[in-house]
Amino acid sequence: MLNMAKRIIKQILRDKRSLAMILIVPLLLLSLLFLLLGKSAYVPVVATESLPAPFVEALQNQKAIRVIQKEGSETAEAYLKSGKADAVLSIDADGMHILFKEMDSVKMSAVTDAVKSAAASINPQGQMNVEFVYGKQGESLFDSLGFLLLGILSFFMIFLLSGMSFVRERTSDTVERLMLTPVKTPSVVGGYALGFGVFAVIQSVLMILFAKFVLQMPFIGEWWTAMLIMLLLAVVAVMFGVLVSAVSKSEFQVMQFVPLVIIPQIFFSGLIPVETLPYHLNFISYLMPLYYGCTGLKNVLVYGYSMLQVWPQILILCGFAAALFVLNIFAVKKYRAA
Amino acid sequence: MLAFFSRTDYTKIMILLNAVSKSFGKKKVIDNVTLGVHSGEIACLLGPSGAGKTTLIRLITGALRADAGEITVDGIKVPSLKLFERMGFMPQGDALYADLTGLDNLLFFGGLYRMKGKELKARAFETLEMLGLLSDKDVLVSKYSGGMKKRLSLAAALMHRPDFLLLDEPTVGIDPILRQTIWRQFKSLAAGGACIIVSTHVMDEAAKCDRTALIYGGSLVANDTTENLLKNTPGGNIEELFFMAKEGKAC
Repeated sequence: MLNMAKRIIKQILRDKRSLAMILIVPLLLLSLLFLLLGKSAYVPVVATESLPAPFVEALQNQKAIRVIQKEGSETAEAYLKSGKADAVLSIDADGMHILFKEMDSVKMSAVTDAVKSAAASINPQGQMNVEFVYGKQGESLFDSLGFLLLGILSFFMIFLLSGMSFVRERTSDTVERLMLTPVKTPSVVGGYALGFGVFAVIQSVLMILFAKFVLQMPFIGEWWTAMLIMLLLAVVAVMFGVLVSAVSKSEFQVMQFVPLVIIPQIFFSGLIPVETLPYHLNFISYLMPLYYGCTGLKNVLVYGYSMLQVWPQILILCGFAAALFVLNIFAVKKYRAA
Repeated sequence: MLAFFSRTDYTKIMILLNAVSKSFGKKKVIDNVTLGVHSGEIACLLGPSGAGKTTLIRLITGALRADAGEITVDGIKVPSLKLFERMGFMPQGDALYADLTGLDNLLFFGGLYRMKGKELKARAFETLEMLGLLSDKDVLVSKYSGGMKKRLSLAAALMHRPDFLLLDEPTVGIDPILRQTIWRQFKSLAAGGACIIVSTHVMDEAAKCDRTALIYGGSLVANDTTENLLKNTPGGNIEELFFMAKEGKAC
């Protein structure tokens, strides 16, 4: 037994990547989570609509929120959709109403705490009703985060599959044979994207239909636009897979990249609302393709945006795919000196 | 022990290595190698494991770039994309897709040489027949025996009927009967004018070649027609030649 343990220790000590994976990567991820789940410095904007002056004054004394007067004649829903505020506060015969754009725990707790505290000084018995433009009170976590899972799961599976597939080309020497034929390097990389792209289309259709009709996820947008976003995300995942496997010598080494390539992307995909991330870490999200994929999917499936309204996400994903394509050409070219 | 059926064209040097060197880090793995192989000639790179045979083959294929010296094939400087069209390469591993059938493998590799449709299919069938694999064409490569995989790997290298062939230990792990069949193939290809370089550490395989280049520690310690080398070796034994090279007595 000691002999066996000694051998394993020796092997791991020699494999610097494994050593880093066991010792350093958990610390990195822990630090990242510490930062991401820390206290948010985000100050939600609350628009008030025909509230009594003393209450507005009491609200303005709350440091956790910024209070503005709702202007214009547009509805509270439209006002929130346009992003002018995080919540609209109004009062009628039923009591106080806080309307949020969507369920966002950071914004909701900051606003409700501030409103409760302000109301306590005016009318402690007052009824507080929380409503949402998108989603409804009591909705399951799966209902509100389902769109993220579509993007994350698809990205993860395609990344693994393409990474493993390309590293197998390496371990079985087929890549060497392949690269010593007249085939052009862009054709190899493009072939990979196309080959896996076919399965990505099937996968995205299946996932969307399954989520909508079997799991009854509350989708409101165009499913084909969501499919296009998932397809682009899959192409980016293939490109990541090929890139990672080009620098890996075995399937095990591809797996070692998961905590570095996939997990941080999941953290910054929108799973933790990007806008309210502490320490201004939200800028990191803008470097992550999964963020654009998940944002696009949310815009389509939750907000009901059309293809014309999600073009920025589509364009950025195309940009990521193109940039990774070029990087892959260089990575794969190393198999031939010509 | 002379090479049979040799149709070597001694007027045409097909593959020429001129003072080629290659290092990996600080380690020099190929040191100042000069070698010429003619059209229709089978040349053997003979040497023990780690002598530099595979590196030399990879330099000739264009997978690696030489640090010093020059390699030309038919007058074209290596590495060159142009030469890939005319080169057949069989790596040491099988380099096949185990989850595809034998026929699918050949159709894929043939397709890389822009062969299409009926021409591609006909060529694949012809090549499978040549190597005695036609009846197993629809069997998954994962179900092939070691010898069948070797033959299919050779078939993949021959699909486009190359002018020159680089074969890295093509018969390693193959039983003697099958080895004979494969060598017969090489002879027939050389008879058709192909220039073939075979790397091996098996002494008696050198005897089947027209030319033998003995490689040891990255250097070429002997290079002549196999006939001449044998003449100059006590007892006419290739193995003796290897020990002489080790002791620094070979020419």
